[in-house]
Amino acid sequence: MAKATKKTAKAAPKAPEGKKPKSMSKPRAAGADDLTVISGIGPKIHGQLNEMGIFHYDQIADWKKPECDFVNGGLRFKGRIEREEWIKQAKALARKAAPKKTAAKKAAAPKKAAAPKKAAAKKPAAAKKSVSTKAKSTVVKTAKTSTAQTAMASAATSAAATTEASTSVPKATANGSSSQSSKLKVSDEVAIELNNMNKWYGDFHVLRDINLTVYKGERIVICGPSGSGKSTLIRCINRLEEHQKGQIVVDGIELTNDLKKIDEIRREVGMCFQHFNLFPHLTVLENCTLAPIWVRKETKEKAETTAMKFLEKVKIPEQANKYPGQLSGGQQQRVAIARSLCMEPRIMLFDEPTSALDPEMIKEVLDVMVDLAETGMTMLVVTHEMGFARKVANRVIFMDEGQVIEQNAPDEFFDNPQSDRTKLFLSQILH
Amino acid sequence: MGLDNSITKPYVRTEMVPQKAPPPGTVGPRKWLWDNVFASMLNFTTVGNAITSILMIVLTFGVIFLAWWVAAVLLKFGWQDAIFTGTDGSYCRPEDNKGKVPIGQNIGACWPFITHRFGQFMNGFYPEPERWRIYLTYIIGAPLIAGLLIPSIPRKGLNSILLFVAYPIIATILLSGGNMEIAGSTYIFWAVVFAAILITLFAVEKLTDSKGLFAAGGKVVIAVAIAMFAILFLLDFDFGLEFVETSRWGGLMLTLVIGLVGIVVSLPLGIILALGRRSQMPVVRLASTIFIEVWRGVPLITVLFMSSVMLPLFFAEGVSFDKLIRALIVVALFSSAYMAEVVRGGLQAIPKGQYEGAQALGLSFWQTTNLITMPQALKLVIPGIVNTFIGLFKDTTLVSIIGLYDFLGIQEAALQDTAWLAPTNQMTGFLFMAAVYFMFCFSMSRYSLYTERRLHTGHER
Amino acid sequence: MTTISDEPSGKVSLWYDPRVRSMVSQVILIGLIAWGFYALVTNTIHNLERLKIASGFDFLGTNAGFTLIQSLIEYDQTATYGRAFMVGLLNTFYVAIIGIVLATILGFLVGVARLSKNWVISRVATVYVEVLRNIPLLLQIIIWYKILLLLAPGKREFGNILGIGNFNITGLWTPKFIAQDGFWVTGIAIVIAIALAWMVARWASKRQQATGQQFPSFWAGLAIVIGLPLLVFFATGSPGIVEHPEFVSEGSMLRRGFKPGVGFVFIPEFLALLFALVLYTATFIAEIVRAGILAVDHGQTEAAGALGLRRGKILRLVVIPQAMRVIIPPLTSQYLNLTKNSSLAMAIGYPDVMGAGGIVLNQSGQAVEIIIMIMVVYLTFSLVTSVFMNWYNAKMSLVER
Repeated sequence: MAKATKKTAKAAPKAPEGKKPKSMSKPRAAGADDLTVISGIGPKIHGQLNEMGIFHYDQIADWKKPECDFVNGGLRFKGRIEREEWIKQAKALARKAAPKKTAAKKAAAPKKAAAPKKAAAKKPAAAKKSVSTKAKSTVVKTAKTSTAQTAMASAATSAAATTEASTSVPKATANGSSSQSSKLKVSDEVAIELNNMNKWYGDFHVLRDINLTVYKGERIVICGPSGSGKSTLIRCINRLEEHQKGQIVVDGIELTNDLKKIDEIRREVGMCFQHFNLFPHLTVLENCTLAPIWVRKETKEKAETTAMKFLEKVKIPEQANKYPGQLSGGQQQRVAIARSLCMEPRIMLFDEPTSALDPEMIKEVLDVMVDLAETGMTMLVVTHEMGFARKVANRVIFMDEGQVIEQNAPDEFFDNPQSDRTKLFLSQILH
Repeated sequence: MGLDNSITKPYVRTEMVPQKAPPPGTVGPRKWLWDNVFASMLNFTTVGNAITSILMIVLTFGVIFLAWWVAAVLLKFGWQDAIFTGTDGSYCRPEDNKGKVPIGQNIGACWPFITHRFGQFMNGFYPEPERWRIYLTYIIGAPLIAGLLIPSIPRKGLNSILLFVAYPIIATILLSGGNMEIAGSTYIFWAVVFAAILITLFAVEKLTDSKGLFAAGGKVVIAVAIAMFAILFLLDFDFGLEFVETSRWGGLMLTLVIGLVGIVVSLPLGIILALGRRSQMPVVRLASTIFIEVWRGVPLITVLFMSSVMLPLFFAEGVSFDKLIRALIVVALFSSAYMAEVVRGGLQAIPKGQYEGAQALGLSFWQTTNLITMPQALKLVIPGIVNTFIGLFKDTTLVSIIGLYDFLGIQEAALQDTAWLAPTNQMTGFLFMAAVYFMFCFSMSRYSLYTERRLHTGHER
Repeated sequence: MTTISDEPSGKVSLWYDPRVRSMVSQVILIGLIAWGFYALVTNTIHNLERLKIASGFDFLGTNAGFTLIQSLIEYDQTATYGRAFMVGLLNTFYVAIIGIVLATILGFLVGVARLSKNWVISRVATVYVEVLRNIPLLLQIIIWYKILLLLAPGKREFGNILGIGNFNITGLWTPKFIAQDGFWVTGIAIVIAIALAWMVARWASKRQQATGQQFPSFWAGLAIVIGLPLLVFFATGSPGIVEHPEFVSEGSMLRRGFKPGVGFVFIPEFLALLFALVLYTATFIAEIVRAGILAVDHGQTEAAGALGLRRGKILRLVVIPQAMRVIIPPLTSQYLNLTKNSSLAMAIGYPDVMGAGGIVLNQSGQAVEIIIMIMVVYLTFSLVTSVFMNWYNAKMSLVER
């Protein structure tokens, strides 16, 4: 409870005036947010939750039964709804509310200034900051809300960006609501910037004049034929490879030979490899707690709690004490993802995460990545899984011969490729 | 529909960027020089790195200095101050050297000592007019060995039989002279043995109703018997070669004899021991394991000592053994234990599926071994075999301790020659021997690396 | 005729029954081995009787009558053969343990040097490894011995080295530390210091688990182990004297030279054997270390780096634990090889178990017993090493499905 109130309290000063009080003064009509999908919740309880600043299922998704049972004078939930079920219901409600949504979008600026602002303020987006700068536990789902309260949340919103976040929400709101329900708002803040980046292997010009700007919260899928330099590109971002010309700026820090800067960048950028690269001599739990203990200097207890949390997120908490050699490929890759997440990075890089997996295991890993995307993590994914791209990506980039050939929104990209090379590539890949 | 943020626009490239040259200093010799030489020495970003850099500077220069000093000493001794011509030791003595160098100046290596006695270093005390037999043995052996070592030459099976069965007999005859006067009783003894085996086989078949046993077993026995008698006959035959007793064998030729005999005997014996160690029969497995572990656990010098001191005690009175034969026996047994471990490693590397496939086809144990397992295992362990041979080659030096004049020991004899006494003889000899051993062992290890690389690419997909 | 076709529940002909075959083969093998042993033993007994050589180990109590050039325990001509053998055994331990320690240090350094990015260092290390690996050990021992003999100043000369030691043909003379009354306190201090260092390490590790702060427990431990005994030593009045070797420089020529028994001496045979063994074995250890580090997949280093770990931590937490698994088994084989190779000492006269045993064998003629004793010694080394290796492999193997 304290958490919830803290959220609202902190949210208050940041939000533009007038929005917070409104939400606090009267309980909102049931149905205006997604708490109604929780079975057993009536209007009174709904209002009480709203008063506590709780508007979305995920704010209470982690509550265990005792917490549910004890709430300010006896709120009781009859049961918890499963996430999948909730998403289904949310989507259904969204479809029902669709006409209102498009209308809201068309009204662009004026609307944005008004209602969505309050929505933004209420959003745990700002509140999330108060919990932890890198928390991903509260997820704001773009909902089916008819009042165009498409949430914007970036898990990596830094302190300075809060105001930007609130101001940029309106813009994003309009755009975001038109995209698929699982895609989140993207902020205007730059996460990664590549300026005229060039890389040579000896005399071979492997990356040519790469200009790329990745915004916070964006999910970018990079595809291309083999040898096009896509893996090299993302490996340059956390300095696993060195670039010879041009600039790479990650989270405001420029990537040079300076070891200190490289360390800082590597703390904010997590990476998952094609061959998992788990440490075979450590248990799964130890794999996940290694870096927090030795780099962030956390206590063992805290590191383990964080690790278990992320292992639950990737749905294999029961394997915590096993060794990587005892797990299947899909499980190992999920552990690898959890391991990177334990450092609470702001940006996640994926280098063909499912290429080394058997087909039946690809789905479980992709599901985890979709979940991750829905928390608003900035993701750069090199993959051939086009279904994933369609579902989750904000942008698809096609590379060939070391340069960016085409980039576009996924639907446009797959349905309407412009360049010949893109058309050739897509024709060779079932998408 | 557009992209999810208002800033990024859809993009399509119209013109491809051509390949360009890398900026100077980022790749190429300058960068290589920086990365590989100076980077570790000039990194002063943190205190820890600074200390490491200073350490690296000291180490690098220290190592360069050390290498230069060693090279300088060797060059001075072996080239600058060395004497290259002369007909006896006086050319190399500082006080008396026939005017080669001013009196009192340092004299380096005495190369005439080596060149004039080269024949002895190579062939020991083998009589000069008979040395052609040694060269003939080399000439016959080289293509046989090359045939096995070079992967592309076919008919390895035939090659192996020639190398492991025929060649030793030929070499023995050539080197020692043949005409071994094998007593008639030996022929009779073996005839009796073979006959006894045949009769036993016959009886067993009749008694236990095993069809085909006599036929199959009989074939094997007859084949072995024929081979055995042929060998005995050849060894007995007088080819007209002069007899050279083994105490006159020496030098590099003796080293090669010991090494090759070691390998030729230890390979089949090692295979048998390896199979025995992996056998399901407990007695066989125990016996093989004990044999292997005992022979691997003691140093070679101990068993050589044992051979020269104890072996005569093991045999009935009157059976006298040549010192060389004694040494050969223990060297062969010793290296067969190591070879067994090498072959066992190869057998373990073969996936279980191979055995199961063979069983499913109905092949017997020996058929599986000969046709499926051994060819694969042997190919895998060629690097291991070559490494064992390199070790064996180096270990042959130990026979000089028990009084055989191999390449190392022949120098002792050479040093006794009064005509060639000079202060630097010993060191010259050492330098020469070290160079020769290095040449042999280094080439063999390069070959082993080459095979290993080939096999890796062959087995990996 | 066999009735195979009539009786489906197979009465198999005896010869083709695998169990029968295996039984028969084993019985034959046992028979052959037994016959072989029997023949061997009877021949040996017969020959020994014929040559009038006694059997049994009683001779070990007989007076030896010869001196040995190095012995770590009290030994002179009046000692027994048994004691001489003991001296040899101790000498083997002596050279083996010092050799193993030095060879490991040198081997690890060279192995890491071969992987260094510094081209000069890695190339020179490679040359060292390739050259010394391919020259027979016996040759190296003899070369070192001859060089030492050649370069050593004569017996009557002083031969100063770096102010600490003196080297001449009788050996390398160094001061010897002799503990006196009261040294036992320092001895206890050493034990306490080690225990203290271990406790500090445990405390530091617990503290890290609780608070996340790291503590340089290695350096602290080292400081304790060195500093505490030193402090105690000086505090108790320095109970120990340093005995310098005494050099008699006056008097008749025959008398000049280092006084035997005063100070500590490494004889040239020992030095030559040690140098050759260390340099030779270090090449193999270097290769093992290099292979071990290369065996750790580069992806591990990359993943650890991507998590934000620095080079030192990556090495310590990720690379070295995995490399050690690959390094330790062949490393223990090399230790065993070094111990076995020390038997070459008899070529230069160093009285290790082989050399001293050889002298006893020559003097007493009891070849069989001495050889058996020597073999038992080496087999014990081998057995202990194998047991250790098997235990280590079982303990450290990566847990897999």
